[in-house]
Amino acid sequence: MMRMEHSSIEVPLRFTIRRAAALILGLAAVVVIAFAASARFGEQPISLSIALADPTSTDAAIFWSLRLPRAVLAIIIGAALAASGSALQGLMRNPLADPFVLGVSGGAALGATLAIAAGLGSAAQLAPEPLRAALARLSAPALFAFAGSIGATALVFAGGRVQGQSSPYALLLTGVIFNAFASAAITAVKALVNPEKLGEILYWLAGTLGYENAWTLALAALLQALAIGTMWMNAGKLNLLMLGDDDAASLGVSVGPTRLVLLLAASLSVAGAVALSGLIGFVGLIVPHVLRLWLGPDQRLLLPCSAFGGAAFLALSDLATRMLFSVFHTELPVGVVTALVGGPFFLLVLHRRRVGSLSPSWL
Amino acid sequence: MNVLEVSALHAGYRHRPVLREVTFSVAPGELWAILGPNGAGKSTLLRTCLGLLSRQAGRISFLGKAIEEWSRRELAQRMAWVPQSFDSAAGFTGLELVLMGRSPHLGLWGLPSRADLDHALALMQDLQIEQLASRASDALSGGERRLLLLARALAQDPRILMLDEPTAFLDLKHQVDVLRRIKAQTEGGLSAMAVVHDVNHAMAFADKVLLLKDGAMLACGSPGSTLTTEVLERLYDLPIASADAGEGQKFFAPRFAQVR
Repeated sequence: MMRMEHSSIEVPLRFTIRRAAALILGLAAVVVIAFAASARFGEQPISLSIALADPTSTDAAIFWSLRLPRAVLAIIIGAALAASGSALQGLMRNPLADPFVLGVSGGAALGATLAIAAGLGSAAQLAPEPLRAALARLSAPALFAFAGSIGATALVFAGGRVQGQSSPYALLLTGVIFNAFASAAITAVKALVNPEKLGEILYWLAGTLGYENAWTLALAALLQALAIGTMWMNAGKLNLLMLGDDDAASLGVSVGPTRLVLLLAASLSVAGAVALSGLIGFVGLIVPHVLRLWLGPDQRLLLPCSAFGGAAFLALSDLATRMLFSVFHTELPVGVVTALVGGPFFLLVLHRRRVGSLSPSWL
Repeated sequence: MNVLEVSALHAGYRHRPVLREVTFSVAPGELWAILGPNGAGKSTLLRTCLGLLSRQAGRISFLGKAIEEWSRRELAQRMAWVPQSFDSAAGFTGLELVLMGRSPHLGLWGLPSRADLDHALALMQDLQIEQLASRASDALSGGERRLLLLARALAQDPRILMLDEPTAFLDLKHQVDVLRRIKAQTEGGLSAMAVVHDVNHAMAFADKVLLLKDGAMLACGSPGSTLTTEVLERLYDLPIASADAGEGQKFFAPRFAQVR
């Protein structure tokens, strides 16, 4: 084998530790800014110095129990949706895949709808006595949504197995069919409930960020750190899976177990997100897609960047819903804003993208 | 020691057995051509040897160890596959794709060292495809993809190459070009098994030929003694003519006058 000196040639590698670190740190800075803005501003102007100096002031109450928990939630949910969207687009080898593709949206929505229709407020109402205190802080729709999405994913996994193998297309098709079935069931429930509950169901389905307590937020953050960490750890193998199962296997990947781990991590991440936020669309579809046009398909880079990008995007979208309160005199669901902003932006990026071109050389 | 030993192999799909009683062994540095009509089981044989399909009966031994005893990763460090094409939508560059061939030798994340990078670039230079290094793989021709996949396979540093129709989609010049490169590799000690459709390619380049018909071996041996008009007529159910082109080169072609 001929050996050559390549130091003179520009090596066109898009994934290097240095570039990944630079991009991740840059995007992390964007998240910090978005988080700060989201926690600082809202429909009611507050003074940070008063809020921090006087814990009994109204400003402090707004900051600590409304703004801050909601900004934290936006970061967690945005990161979860975009990171799992990135992983699922790779796993399904389909750029149109989103976090809800495996039946998660249908299962979560059906669960939450049933909980609301049954008039369940807190998860504690259902729990046996010893568990009641622990579950008192979790809402029943959240618990039902989580259970529904986990159940739906299990069903789709079982239904999507062809000859003992879970093929991406069979999974995709089963997920789509399950979502259609769930949406019909939800329509039936909506037709049967009273207008007040109907309003609550519609609001949940549109995707909203509420005010969760510190205990719930910590649990959600832990779950997402584990799930996103697992996906990122397996990102190198995910790259190989994107070439096709046989290619990945011939390059040393144990296809079945690797895909299962990635699917489970992605599903858990999405289930944890929808339980707290309802169905916030577009974040998990658009953020990884736009970042892929910019950074290339390498999941080792795309996955963490999607997590940060999704966190910043959702925090800013949620800030927009609160700033728009003075215009509409009501708060739009954040899912509406992500779709209204994300859709046109996405089309613009897609339109301007030239096929085959790589990212600019300065990054 | 033989690189690959296949004995009394039966393989295929659950409700559709394909291969019956296939037995052969590949020595180091041998280039094998697998010939046969469509559906004869050529790709099934390659995929079974690669461990992508499980056996129904018989034995496959690779480097003295049963194929099922190798882990996927260990196998990928020693056996490489050159498929017909790849999913272009993935959007990786040529260099990224070739570097993926190093991943069986690397850690969980597949981070290449400077040496891995040099190795990949040298292979690309060797195959004269270094200009594809920064090109997105969606924008490549069939021939360029084929050469990238060959480079990726060679980057695995394998003991044997498994090639699925390496000359498909290529023009005459590139067909010969790819076969010469593969031949150069086997002359360097690498073994290779290639599914081919052109009898004349097998005649010119292969050390051994394996003729498959309806999942069973019709013949096996050196091309000079195995490839005769009688055997080929039975293999393809076609009247076949042969001609001497001089310089010891023999050609086969269907007898078009009788077929038309």
